[in-house]
Amino acid sequence: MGQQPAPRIPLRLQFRSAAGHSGNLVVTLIFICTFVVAALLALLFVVLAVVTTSGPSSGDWALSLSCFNLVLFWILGTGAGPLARSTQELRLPGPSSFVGYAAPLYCSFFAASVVIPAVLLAIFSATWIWPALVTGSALIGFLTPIALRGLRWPHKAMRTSDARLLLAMMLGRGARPRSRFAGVAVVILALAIFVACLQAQVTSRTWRTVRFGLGLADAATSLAAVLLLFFYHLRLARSLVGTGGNWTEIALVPGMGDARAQLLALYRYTLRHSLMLIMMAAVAAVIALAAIRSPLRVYAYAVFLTASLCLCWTVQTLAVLVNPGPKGAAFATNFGSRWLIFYLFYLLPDMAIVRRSPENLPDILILVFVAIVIIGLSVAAYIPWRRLTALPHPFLQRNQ
Amino acid sequence: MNVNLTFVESPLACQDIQKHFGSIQVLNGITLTLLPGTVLGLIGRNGAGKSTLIRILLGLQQPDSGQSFVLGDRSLAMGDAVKSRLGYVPQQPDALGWMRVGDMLDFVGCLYPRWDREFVQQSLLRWQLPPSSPLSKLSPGERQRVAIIRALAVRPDLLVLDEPAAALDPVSRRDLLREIAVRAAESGTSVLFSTHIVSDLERVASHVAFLHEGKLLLHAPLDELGDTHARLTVPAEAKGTLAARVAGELSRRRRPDGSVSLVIARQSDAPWPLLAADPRIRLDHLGLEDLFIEVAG
Repeated sequence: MGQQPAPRIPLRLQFRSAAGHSGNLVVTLIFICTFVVAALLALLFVVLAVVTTSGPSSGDWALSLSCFNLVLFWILGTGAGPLARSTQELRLPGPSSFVGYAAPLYCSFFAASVVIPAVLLAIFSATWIWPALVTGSALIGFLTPIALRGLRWPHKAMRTSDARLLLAMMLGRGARPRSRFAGVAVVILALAIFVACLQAQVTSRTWRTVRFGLGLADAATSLAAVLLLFFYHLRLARSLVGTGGNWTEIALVPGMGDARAQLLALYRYTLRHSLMLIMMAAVAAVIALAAIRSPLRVYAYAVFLTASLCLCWTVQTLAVLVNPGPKGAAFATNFGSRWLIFYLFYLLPDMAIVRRSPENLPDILILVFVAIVIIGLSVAAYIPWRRLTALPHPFLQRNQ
Repeated sequence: MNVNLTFVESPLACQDIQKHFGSIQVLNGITLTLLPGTVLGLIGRNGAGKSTLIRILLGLQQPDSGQSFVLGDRSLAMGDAVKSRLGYVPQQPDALGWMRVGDMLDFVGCLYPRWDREFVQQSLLRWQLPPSSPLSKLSPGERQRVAIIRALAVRPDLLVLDEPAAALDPVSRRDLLREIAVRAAESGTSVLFSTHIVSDLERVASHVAFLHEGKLLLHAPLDELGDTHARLTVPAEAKGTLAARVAGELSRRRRPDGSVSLVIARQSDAPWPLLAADPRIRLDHLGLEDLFIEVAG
């Protein structure tokens, strides 16, 4: 027999032996840190927003919508990062845990980013009921599946079946009857509360309606993006789950040796489809909104929102396509985080427009200018992205 | 067998693999080497540990002890370059079941440098697999065919198939076996395939390995089996001549009439044990199926 390489203890075992436990403590710490960071960012955002919109009736509901929107972007941009890193660094035992830990991370983001803004808005604004109700009901919607499983979160007891329940909560299918009923009931309740609150609030001016429509379209497209991402994560995780928590044959495909690589490969593939869907949704939203009302402000705003969404996705896609390793993932994650800050800065002047007269031309021109720049960037990014997808895979170039 | 071939040089090898599932020992000290360009048929009864061994060989499962190598890389740390030379058909292909046939092959195909798109198209047509069908909607046999297409389209240097013919109809099975034989003969592809269908093995295998109750009982070239393995039938009146263990003994079975049958092995140029010279004892050269039944039955 020839010289054999020294046996290398798998990372999972190293981690176990060094720390003396199975990883739950570290994951719990990650979970807590995630929650704290998301909460602090949400707090910062709300404080800034409230400071810049001092009047209680000057856009509180718009602020709430944007806040919700922001949360979705935050999840969109950064959700994949902790997920990938946790699976990569800890090499959590078994792909089922991949789902088990991913879902709580999503929930923690959601809880920290939605509940805290809702509470703060309730304190600072005159209309405190509906944001609290909406976010509360949405939160219930996310947490109910976990509660149904006996509050074992975030420990490893949360397995594929739980994640399927989460998925079922969003899609209303695939779950056991009890969970399906609970999920559908919670979603209907949330929608009913949402609609009731809207009817109570949106009564004053037409521009508010338009603004709401835009915000809602933006939120819907963002939500669609998040759902798609989450949906594919779960599907991927289901693909990885084999008997007894072992890898399936996909692990033998080049470039798909671990959860992170598999996630990235599938992420890259599915983005090609989901990006198109989102762009189509956004374009449809713009057309619909243009039909409602057609001052320059509406166009500019709609185009801006559409382009911002597309740009974020395009850049993230590009990052993962060009560099499919950890660097690409890190860049995509960081970009998502920075996009949050950018979004914040966009929101502040937007709030100023809401507060002032709609005919405030300089602000509108600024918006139009920014929108044109972003559209240009989006198109510029989209063309090479298309070319890249038509070319052989980056892994191949590396292998050859 | 070429004993000088190191584990690292062999397309597929393992050394002293042990694996337990709870208190059950599934694999017990398995050492196996696949020679380049050969077709090794791994045969064993259901539950003998064939799939577990294959999964450990490929790094899909961790052994309790021992190590395995694929095309020179340690299985548990296989690089992309090695993966791109490996085709694998699992017993129950279930990964990416939510994708459509065409999408999955397209997705996986762009990860391999030698992906044979033409072969994929032809095979889909020949086996009447609609590219637009979701994998999850296909029958087990159809999914098996898709997995075979995926494995062969890689144009692999090493092809590993875990009971590939189990869910196939006779025509597809014949197609697959022909394809394996052609690949091995023309491209020098090394093949390991597990089965419990002896006739499949006889058609294409150049070597055969018997796995029984977690142990590798036999590993030899197929065409030498008749010369190197035989059954000794020892009648009841001659049992006194039977030692506790005969040289080269693989299995021993007591029959209802009081006789004992032994399966023994020898080196191709070595004589049979002295016991075989006893006129009361019958020596039979066995076919593969009889040999398998004697050893594993």
